[in-house]
Formats: sequence, C-alpha cells, structure tokens
Amino acid sequence: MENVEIIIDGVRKVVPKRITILKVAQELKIEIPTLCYHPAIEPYGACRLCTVEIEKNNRKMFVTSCNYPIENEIKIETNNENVIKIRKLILELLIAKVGYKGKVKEIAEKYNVEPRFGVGDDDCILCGLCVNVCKEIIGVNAISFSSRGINRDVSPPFGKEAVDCIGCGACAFLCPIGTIKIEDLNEKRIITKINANLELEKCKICGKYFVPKKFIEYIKNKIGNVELDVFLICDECKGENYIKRLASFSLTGGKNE
Amino acid sequence: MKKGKILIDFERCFACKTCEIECAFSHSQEKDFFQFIENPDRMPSVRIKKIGQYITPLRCLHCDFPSCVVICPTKALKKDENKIIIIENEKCVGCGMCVVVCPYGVPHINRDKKIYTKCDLCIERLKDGQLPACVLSCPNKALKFFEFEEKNEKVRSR
Ligand code: SF4
Ligand code: FES
Repeated sequence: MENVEIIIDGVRKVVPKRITILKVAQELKIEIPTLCYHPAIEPYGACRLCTVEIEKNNRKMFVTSCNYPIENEIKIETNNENVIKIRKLILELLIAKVGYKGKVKEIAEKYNVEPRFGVGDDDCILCGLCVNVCKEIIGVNAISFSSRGINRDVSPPFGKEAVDCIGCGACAFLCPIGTIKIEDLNEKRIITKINANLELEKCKICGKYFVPKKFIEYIKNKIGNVELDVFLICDECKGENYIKRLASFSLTGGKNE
Repeated sequence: MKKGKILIDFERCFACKTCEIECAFSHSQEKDFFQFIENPDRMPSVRIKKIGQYITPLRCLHCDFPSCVVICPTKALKKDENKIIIIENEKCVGCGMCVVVCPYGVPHINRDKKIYTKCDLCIERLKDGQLPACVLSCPNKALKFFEFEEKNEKVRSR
C-alpha cells in the first residue's frame, strides 16, 4: 500500500493512503469529538462535530475528519482556535434543537458552550446511527429518514409501525442522546421512537419472556435454518444447564463438603 | 506472555464472590478500590451461580468453535492468536446476537450503561506474565490456571 507523509498538530507522520484523518488521530490519541461516527459503520458525516482544519496546496479549509480520506501531503490542525469556534457553534445549534441530552450534553460541557439560540426539546439530532446500523450491520432496514428540511425525522415506514423490526436493539444501543428506548413488558417488547411492537419468546425452562421471536427467526436464517435448543433458553437457564452437566461428571456429585 | 486456560475445581467454591469483585475491578477504569465499590463502572464477567447444592463460577469457556464469533455482525468478537476470544468494545453495536447463540449464557449486554461484558482471560495481565484476576484472588483455590507448555502446544497443533 502507498504511504503519504502528513503533519498532524505539528507532528510528522507517515500514514497509509486513504486512511481517514479521524483514524490517524485516534491512533495518536488525539481527541476529536464525534457524534455520528461508529467504527463498525461507514462514516456518514452528518453531525460535523469532528471538523478539523487542513492545509492543502497552501489553501486552508475545514473538513469532517471522520470521512476525509488522506490522499496527499496535508497539514492538519485538530484543535486550533478556528476549529474550536466551529465546534462550539455546532454544539450551540445542536442544543437549540435537542437541549442537553446524552452525548451532546457531555461534549457541550467539555467545550463550555453558552447557548445563544436557546435550549430546544426535540428528540433527534439526525445523526443517522440508528438508520445506518439497521441497514448496514443488521441488514433489516426497519427504519429510515422521512421528510425533508426541518421535518426530517427517523421513522418506521409511513410513520406507522416498524413491521420489519426484529427487535435486536442495536439502534437503542447506539443512539447518542438516548431517544430510542427498549421496554420489555411481559410478552411484548416495545421500542420507542421507531414504534416497534414485538412478541417475546418464552424460555423453555423457567418461562421468562426474554428475546423477540423475530430475532430468533433472524438468527436461524443467518446460520442457515438450523434449529437449536439454545435459542429458546434464557441466559440464566443456559448457565444453570451447563453447571448441571458439569456436576454429573464430578465424583461427589458436586456436593460442597 | 502466559498461555493457558482457567480450570474450575468446583467442589471448592463456596460462593464468597471475591472473584466477581476482583474481575470487575481489574477491568474497570477506576483505580481506587473504595471509589469503585461505591460506584462500579463495570460488571464482572465471571458470575457465581448456585443451583441447589451446586456452586460454580461461570465464565467464558473460550470455545474452540465459538458461535458468538461466527454470528457477530461487526466482527467485534474475535479469536486471537492465543485462542482467546476477545471483544473490541468500540465495534460492538449491542445487537445481542452473541447472547442468543452462546450455549452457556456468558455474554452480557448492559443497555443502560452501554457496556458489553465477557471474560477476556485478563489478556492484559497475561501479557505481563500475571495470573488472571479471578484465579489470583480465589481464597480457596477453586479457580486454577492451567498453563500450556511449549511442548503441549506442539502436540496440540500436530
Ligand atoms: S434517533 Fe438517535 S440515533 Fe437515530 S438519528 Fe436520531 S439521534 Fe441519531
Ligand atoms: S463524526 Fe464526523 S461528521 Fe459526525
């Protein structure tokens, strides 16, 4: 692979071509705030918080580091005055939309942001993590962006119910401001925001409801339609089963004398 | 680097839970033990299970053919060159497929704190030539570390 030499925060470094600025920075333990980036997902470049300043052919410009592949010799400043000013502005706008929530709050506190445009109360920063994880990683496409402009939002098809959702909960795990929530109520799993309503499977041994039926179906298909007993047993009971099996090998039957 | 597996002499475990605390503490960011106890930022990846008269510390078995590694959609779980199954926490998306396929119910996902816990055989400690935290701390030696010798390694691969 070809290499290029760059200068990042005054440090010279040789890096492989087409690696993103963010990855180089992370290797060097330089902190760049991110909201819409996740190492397992293709960079989406929606939040602009990872902005850095680069100098290329004697011209300065701002780019988003998470999706900027280094092609030729450039000079990168990750934390200078201009960059911080821009990040602060972005944070102010985010706060104007959703207020102090989750990761937005965390980063805003680090940057000492004083919001000039008010504190909003929306529930989504349109980072796209939930939509992209569902599409790229899980491959289900249960949710997507709808509408344009200020009405843009994450929603299930036609704003009704997420019928394709398998209930894995990856979107809830990744949402940086904690909008998507999973609630298990007896035999139902409800996922807020994306409006999913799933039936849970009962553990064969203890009878506890523990995982969505559709999720088991999905895993079965993924490994080639194999029906395995372990899918229908909750993790507590799986552990217990294993210990019982171990005990049957022991000479004293596992008694603690 | 030490290489080996953790064995359980499960008639010796009396459920004091020392290994659980040591495990969580040695993997946590917190360096101060008292602070950690008050506000743990990490859950243990070894759990004491008691069923009737049976008591066993249950932890990842580092299977030879791990179904969790096969199913993980982001390749966050992988088997490293020392046959230890490790998780790259940054890559985890919390989908929970490993939880469903693991035959022993080992992996745990904490959805609120957004952390994934699974035994990594204390790989950092092994690299320093130390024993895993649970093995070292067990007061009754219910957990033992079985070290592979070089010779054994060759026999195994033959
Ligand atoms: S719901 Fe959460 S994860 Fe999805 S786009 Fe909005 S902020 Fe991002
Ligand atoms: S992290 Fe780069 S644009 Fe959001």
